[in-house]
Amino acid sequence: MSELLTCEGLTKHYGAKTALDGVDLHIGFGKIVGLLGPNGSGKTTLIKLANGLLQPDSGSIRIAGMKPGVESKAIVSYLPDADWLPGWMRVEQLVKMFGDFYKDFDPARANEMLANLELSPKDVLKTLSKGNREKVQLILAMSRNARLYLLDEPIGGVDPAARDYILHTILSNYSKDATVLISTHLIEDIEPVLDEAIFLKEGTVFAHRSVDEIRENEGMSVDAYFREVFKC
Amino acid sequence: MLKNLLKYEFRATGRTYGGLYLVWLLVALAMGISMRDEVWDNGSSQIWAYLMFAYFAIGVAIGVVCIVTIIQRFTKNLLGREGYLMHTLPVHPEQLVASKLISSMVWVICSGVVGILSVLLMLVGLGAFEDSKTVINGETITTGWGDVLKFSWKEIQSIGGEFWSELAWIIVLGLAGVAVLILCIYAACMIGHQFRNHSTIASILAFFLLQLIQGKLDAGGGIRVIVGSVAAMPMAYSASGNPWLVLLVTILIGAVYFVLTSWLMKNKLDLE
Repeated sequence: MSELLTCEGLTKHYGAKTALDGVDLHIGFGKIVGLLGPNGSGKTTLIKLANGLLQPDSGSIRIAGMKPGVESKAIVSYLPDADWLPGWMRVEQLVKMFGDFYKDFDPARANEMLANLELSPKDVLKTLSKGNREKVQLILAMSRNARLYLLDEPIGGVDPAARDYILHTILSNYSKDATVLISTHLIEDIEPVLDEAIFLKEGTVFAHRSVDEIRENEGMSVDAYFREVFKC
Repeated sequence: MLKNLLKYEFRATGRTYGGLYLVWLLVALAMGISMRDEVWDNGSSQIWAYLMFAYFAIGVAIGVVCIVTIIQRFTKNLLGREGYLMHTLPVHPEQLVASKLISSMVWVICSGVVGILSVLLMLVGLGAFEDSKTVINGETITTGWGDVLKFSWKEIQSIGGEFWSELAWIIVLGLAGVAVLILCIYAACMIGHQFRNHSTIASILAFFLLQLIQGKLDAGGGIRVIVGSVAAMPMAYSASGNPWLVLLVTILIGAVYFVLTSWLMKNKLDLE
């Protein structure tokens, strides 16, 4: 098995609108991949399809050769772009809950990260600020020893100071045979950690290249290339 | 994993019920105390009226909370934002549906048990289990609620096994009917979920459609039990005289809803 995430002819419509149109993707192990594109380009739809939260209209999506299901969910760590955890729970209860459900969850790592970001385990999630809630959610997602991390806008709502810590957290917490797929608009911030970049444009893959290749062939940074490709 | 799902399901729902049960029991006890002769004579009738209002209001509130919780725990926790968490846990859709059904049934049963307890507490408050002595013409005789209860209990004991067996069947079939109703609500929610922009109205229509189909089956098959509604179940038992048949049909209807809900959740989930 050389591919961790495989999409073949993946298509998804929302009514008359086409969110993904025949997407073909092949992502291997041990990479940090940026999923880049403007609003409405299909980034979140692709991530949700990989998690089985949406069903494709045609085509297929496989994780380590498996259709999204119980087995794939055991190896995928997902961070949505919205509040998704029960607000009434305390942070420590969420840590316990993740430990109960995911065999690969490391509570010691989660507690260490909570302490580093000065987040109290006793706090009730809904009483935290939006940025702190996002930090808790990211910590829970990154405290798993998953094979595939699907992070949808992980740094969109946090302050720049916390961004460095979060990116450092992502870099230092994924195992080297795991892959991290990060969807974001903040390309400049994540560019230093990326191995590959996927550019989604109007539901299709405009480009899927290594970051080094973009820099060498285009003579510009990924951020500058993005601005050029998606110039309004 | 079902055990873990149930643990967090009870934690989420218990917060609502626990407080209501406690207040209900306390109000029942206070209501009983306010009815004691010595308290009543001191003008507690107005307090009793308030307590009685509160008692029935809380009882109704518990019923409403049961219905709302059954619907909301399914729609919000599985088809709302929390669904991002629930559907990315490594569990089967059947386990998710089963956890919701089991916890709902437990709360329905608990509400019934607490209702019975509240009546008993009311009697305790009233002093119904205490004998009172009255002297009439120089002779001391035992009077009061204690005697009434003792007499009632003796009468119940003398009724015989048939009554208890009938009562047990009515309870079992009644609970089975409630379970089918809950599963029908879940199936209706999943059908409604297929209609992206009108899911609420579609769910309501689906619920009535499913009930209508059950009604048609009833009319067509001539078997009263297929109605499957809560109220109809014990009556169906009396009409058919075969509780095992009623139970079998109820389980079959429930199984159809369960499979339909799980299948839709597995193959047609669309969390936008």
